[in-house]
Amino acid sequence: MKSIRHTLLLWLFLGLSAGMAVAAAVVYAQAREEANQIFDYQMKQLAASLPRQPFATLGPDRPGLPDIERDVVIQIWNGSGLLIYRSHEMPSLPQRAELGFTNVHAGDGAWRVYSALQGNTVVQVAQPLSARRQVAADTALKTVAPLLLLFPFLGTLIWVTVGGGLTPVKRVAAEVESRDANALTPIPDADLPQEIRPLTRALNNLLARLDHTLDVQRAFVADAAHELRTPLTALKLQIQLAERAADEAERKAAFGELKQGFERAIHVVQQLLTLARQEPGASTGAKQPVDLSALAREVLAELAAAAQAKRIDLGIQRDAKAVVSGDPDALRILLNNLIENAISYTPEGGKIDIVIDAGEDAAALDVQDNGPGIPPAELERVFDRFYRVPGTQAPGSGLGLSIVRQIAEAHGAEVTLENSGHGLRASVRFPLGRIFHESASGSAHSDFRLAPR
Amino acid sequence: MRLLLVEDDTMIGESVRKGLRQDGFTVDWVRDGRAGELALEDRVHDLVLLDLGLPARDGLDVLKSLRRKGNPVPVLIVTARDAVPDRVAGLNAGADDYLIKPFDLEELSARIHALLRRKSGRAETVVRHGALTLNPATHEAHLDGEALNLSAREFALLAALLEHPGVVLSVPQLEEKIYGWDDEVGSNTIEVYIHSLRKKLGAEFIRNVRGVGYMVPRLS
Repeated sequence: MKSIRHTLLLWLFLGLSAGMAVAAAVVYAQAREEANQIFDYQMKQLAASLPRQPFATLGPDRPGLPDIERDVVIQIWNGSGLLIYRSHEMPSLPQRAELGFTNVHAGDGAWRVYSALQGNTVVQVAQPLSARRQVAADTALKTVAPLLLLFPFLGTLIWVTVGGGLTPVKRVAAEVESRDANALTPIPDADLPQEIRPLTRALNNLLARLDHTLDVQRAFVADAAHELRTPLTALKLQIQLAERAADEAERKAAFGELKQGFERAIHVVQQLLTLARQEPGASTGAKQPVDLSALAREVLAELAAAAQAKRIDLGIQRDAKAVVSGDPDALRILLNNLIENAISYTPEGGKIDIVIDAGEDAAALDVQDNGPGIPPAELERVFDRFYRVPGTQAPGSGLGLSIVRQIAEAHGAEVTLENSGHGLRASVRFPLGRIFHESASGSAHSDFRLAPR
Repeated sequence: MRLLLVEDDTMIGESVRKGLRQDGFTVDWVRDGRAGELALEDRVHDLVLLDLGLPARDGLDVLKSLRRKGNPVPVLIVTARDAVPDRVAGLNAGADDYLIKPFDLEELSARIHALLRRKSGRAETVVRHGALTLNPATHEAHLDGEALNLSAREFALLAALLEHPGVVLSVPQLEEKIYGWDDEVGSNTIEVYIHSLRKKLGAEFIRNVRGVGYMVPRLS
């Protein structure tokens, strides 16, 4: 599991280490530069302080020479090139040297060599560069070492600060933890640091949406329970009447009504199930190309008997090749509900026309009946769950159009109802982009019509 | 006894009407609140069965306006709204009883009888008048302990007359009591029923007040 503290500490350690390494390198470079200057100056001074007169003899322990460090080698030649002095034997050094400063790579390391002409003698002072490096490294170490003390100090500081900074997170967590499933009130975030607010804000948005969804669901369950009570009441009464029946004819009639009652109860339950299945978020069938015209023919064939029972002339008036992307089962329910509604509300001997249009930007499916229509004030309300137009005699659950709208919305389509001329027209418009457009070969008049008998 | 049923569901309405008719009630059925209000204007019903979730006008509104107009007819609310606040609201709005769907026809009948008994100020369901006893719940009539064979209409007519002994009821008033809207009323059927009842109960049981109507005299 990731820990902000551990991550911060790790990066602090790495960052500080890198910083110290760089600082040490810089200090080392600067110190070496300074050491070079100082040692070079010393070497010059040393060379200058050596006697100008030729040495009388060559010997290691001559007094009067400056007290020099052991690793500094001094050699002096006279005008004729004869070595007249050597502080100590150092055969690796070149026996002749250019005047001025040079770096010499001898077998045992690099040397800084200074040669100067003093009168007619040549004085050479040599010092191994390692000595200078040593000084520079010492300086760098001394400068950087105290920084190591920062490690425990900064580490502790970060540990404590991060802990303190995360306290509000712990508080929010405890707040959320202590809730039961129904407490969906927003998390108070007034005194939270701004880094955490986006999280609580997102959480609060989610809670609000969840709360709304739950409210809708609760209302729906309450409505559904209430609506189920009506068909169940009817069933209970019908059963009692069947029990009371005095003779065979009465019993037969009572059972006939009981059967209708059952059919209604089953219908309501089926509609509720359909609605639940079409609920946004419920797993729906995969989208695939659906030919509206073919689908309409299938649904019409299924409903033909119901239409003929009422001597209703049901058919496709105008047809076009319109293929939309959708769930064929859901679209079949949509179409079925619209046409069933039309059959229910159209008087005997009426007419229902299906019109399918495929335009440039949309495909449309209209169901036009010549029934009584819907009062304008009710046109929008009929989509509400369980809502039925007052005085409606036709049986129904009040869910059909809710289902239609839900399916349409899932397909990005729009359902409208309007009283047009001689009845009600229900239109479903599938917008552009949802359509695999295949231009209709003219709007051919279809001969697909179920002739009333 | 003539009842007004206000119920928007066709199946429930039909079943209740049928069941209550079998129990000897005359039932008028309307399907929305406004029609219910109109029907109650006539004040011919002995009791109202009122659904609450009604089209056109909510049941509670119908009840409130009924009571505002001073109509004391017993009201039995029959509804699917079972929450306690709903029941309290219904009773406070002037309902006499509250029955929750789904219900038993027997219970509905029993509650209707209880309300009618309370309305007439009787302590028991059985109506007694001298040697005659009438049980509206079982539709049994006894004279001197002997069972009488009365038709449903005869029973209803007798019960109507016995409701207020000593009060004269006109023929149209009696017709209103025993016929619903759907019933065909013959021209002198009330007279036919009276005649038949007099045969079973004795000529003096029901008196004719000429030009006014009929009455069962108060017992001295």
